[in-house]
Amino acid sequence: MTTDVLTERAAAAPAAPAAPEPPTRRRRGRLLWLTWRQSRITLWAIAGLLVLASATLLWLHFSLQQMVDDLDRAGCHDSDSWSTINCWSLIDPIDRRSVVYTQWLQPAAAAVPLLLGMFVGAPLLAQEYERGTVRLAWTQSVSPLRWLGARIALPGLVALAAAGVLAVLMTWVWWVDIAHGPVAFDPPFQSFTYPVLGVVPVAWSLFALALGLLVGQLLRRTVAAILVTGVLVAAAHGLVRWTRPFFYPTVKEVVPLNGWQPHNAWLVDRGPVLADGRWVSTDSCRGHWERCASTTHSWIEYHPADHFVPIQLVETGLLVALTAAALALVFHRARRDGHALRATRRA
Amino acid sequence: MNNPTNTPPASAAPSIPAAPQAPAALAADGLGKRYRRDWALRDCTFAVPAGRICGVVGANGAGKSTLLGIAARLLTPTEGELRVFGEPSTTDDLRGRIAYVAQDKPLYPGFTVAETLRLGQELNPAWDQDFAQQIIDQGELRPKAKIGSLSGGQRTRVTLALALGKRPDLLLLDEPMADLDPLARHQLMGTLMAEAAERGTTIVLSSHLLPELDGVIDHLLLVQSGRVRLCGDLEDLLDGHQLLTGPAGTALPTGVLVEQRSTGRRVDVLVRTGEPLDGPWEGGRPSLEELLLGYLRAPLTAPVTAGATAGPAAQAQTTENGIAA
Amino acid sequence: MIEYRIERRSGVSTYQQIVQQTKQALRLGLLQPGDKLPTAREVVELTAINPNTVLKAYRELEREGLVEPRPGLGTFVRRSLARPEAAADGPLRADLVGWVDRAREAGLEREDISALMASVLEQRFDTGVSPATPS
Repeated sequence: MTTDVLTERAAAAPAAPAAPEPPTRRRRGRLLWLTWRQSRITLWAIAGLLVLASATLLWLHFSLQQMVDDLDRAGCHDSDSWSTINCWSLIDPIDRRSVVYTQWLQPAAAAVPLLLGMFVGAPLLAQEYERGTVRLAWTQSVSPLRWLGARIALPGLVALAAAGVLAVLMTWVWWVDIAHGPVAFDPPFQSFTYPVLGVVPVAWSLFALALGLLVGQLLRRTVAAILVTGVLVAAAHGLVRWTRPFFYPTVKEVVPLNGWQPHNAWLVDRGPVLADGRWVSTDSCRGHWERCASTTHSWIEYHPADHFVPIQLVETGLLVALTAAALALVFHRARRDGHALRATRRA
Repeated sequence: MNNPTNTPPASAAPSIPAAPQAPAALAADGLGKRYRRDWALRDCTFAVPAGRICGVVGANGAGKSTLLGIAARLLTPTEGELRVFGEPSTTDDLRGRIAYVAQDKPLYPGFTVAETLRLGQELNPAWDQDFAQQIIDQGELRPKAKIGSLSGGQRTRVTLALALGKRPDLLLLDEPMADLDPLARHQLMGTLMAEAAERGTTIVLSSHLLPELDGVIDHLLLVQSGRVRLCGDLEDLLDGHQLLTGPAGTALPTGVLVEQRSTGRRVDVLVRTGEPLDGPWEGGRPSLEELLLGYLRAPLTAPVTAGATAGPAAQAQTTENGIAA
Repeated sequence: MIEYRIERRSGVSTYQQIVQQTKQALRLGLLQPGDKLPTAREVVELTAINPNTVLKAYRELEREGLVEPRPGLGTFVRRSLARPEAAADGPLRADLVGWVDRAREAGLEREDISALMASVLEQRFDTGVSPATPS
């Protein structure tokens, strides 16, 4: 007893699972379409802001170069000559351009890792979990880990590249036009200077992105994840700033009373040297002024300017390790399934 | 449509749509899932043969979604094992063979309908664009419409198009029809049934809208408080039960009572036996809805599989609610 | 080609409905020997019922010798249930038309006629009265 339809069904039932075509490379490209489609607004925004920041920095550099040339031609290069009206009128615009860098661009660039963590990292997974679309993605024919990798990689790498380009430009303008400029005094260890120079801004961006991903995956609420990521990145920054002096051995020396650390060095601590040669803290003199009255020398503890690179490298290493840990946790949690459905189970 | 093959008649019997030796589409053995301290599913042992259209029925929170979630590989069981087409449910090759529609029908709200189908195309090697497009067209959806602007029913249609375009061998649908209007429900159910007829797709759909399942399912899985209460071929299960009315106080054989309701001096009972009973009973084979309501109203007892007679455990349980006294 | 209309709430199983509707079509001559029945896919796409039900119904019809499957081609009608006496231009039908017209002239509604018809059918068929010996 066979009917047409029975034959249809019987033939169809043990059918092969799927067309056996797709080579891996092609499928990876396919995931790229999805992640591009999902993050294109973010990517355009990053690109736009990067173009804006780069244009501003280039304009700053070339206009400062022009002004310094004018200054040199007018014979106003030495600071001794600046009291003349003629020179002062040339110095003043240089000063104002330098302030644009130190007062505006530096704080803005210092906030970049925080903003990347909050607005690129945190919503990325939080939104997928919040809308339940992670279950949509995980029930297609690609494995969840591959999807996660692609989902993170494109916006993550673009954001990092942008942070890198910004750091290079910021460092270059600082080195050429600010640190070696005629007027600006901007020691590298200052609060808004240090975090925008060298590799540290890229490391912070990396860390903030990974932290945002993890927080988003844990909280599954976009707004909450953005806020918590912001608080955590700021707190981490505060903590690192507090411990930064210990990232590299300091230089300790005795200087005459009221003597200073070398140019561009970072003074970590100082105190009086007592008559018997003991180094005490300034606080210990409080209330016992007679004890410190006879001192003629101070001790100072500082990082000279050439500690800048090793400190940055230690900080970068620390942040890269934390990033790796956060990403490992994100992938581990994605592999250990269950959260996707649980979030909406009782909803 | 007509595909001349020399299929032996034995393998083409309608009650066994797939070849008899084919592994079950779903086979659970002692399956359990715990969320923190609560067991959502416990001790579940059942099989759904390939090619069936199986209804998963139960009250809200009974564990239907958890069961489908495990089958869809979104959840790992805490204990026991679920095999899909004979392979452990964690096997990677199964990914392309299973499609799943979650209860809340998640989609990317910023995508257009066309982009959502593109997602299906990019992420599924066996994607059938024409078929998916046909389901979209049937609902008269504009390809450029944003998902976020669609009604609940339209979203359901897009989600089903995404699932069916994958051309799965096993289609898991969690409350698929809840927010569809009657016409769309009929259309999409027709599409699902046609897919099952043509390709032998196994469909497992959960629902608490019992009328929606009548005439659609041929296999039943009744889940109650995280346990499988009934599982088997629907006709066998219906044949194995009677809905009877008789005077209150009439004795029943032990171990057959599922549920009873008194209406004055009469009593309505659902019994688990196909054999005629002694005594002044009237009635007969229940409808699907009557069977399900009877079980859903009754307290939990031992699981029943089609054709099985009541075991000792069930007997002990039923004496408690026996009406003999 | 026959199109099945499935009533979900009629109390009759969908499988029985397909069998009955096919037989009805055979009786009325809507289906003739050699006609092709719709495939299960075509039926379920329109009716949204389980394909196995359609297969089961076709198997039942096959068992009764009414249809036969031709592998790869479809399911075809083998014999008709139409009786010449019941044909549209048969004398029996003309008699019945005349009788119904008289009943309407006498003021009977559609329901009255159908109840009367059912009652007579029951009386004549279920009590074992043979047509040869009218009581």
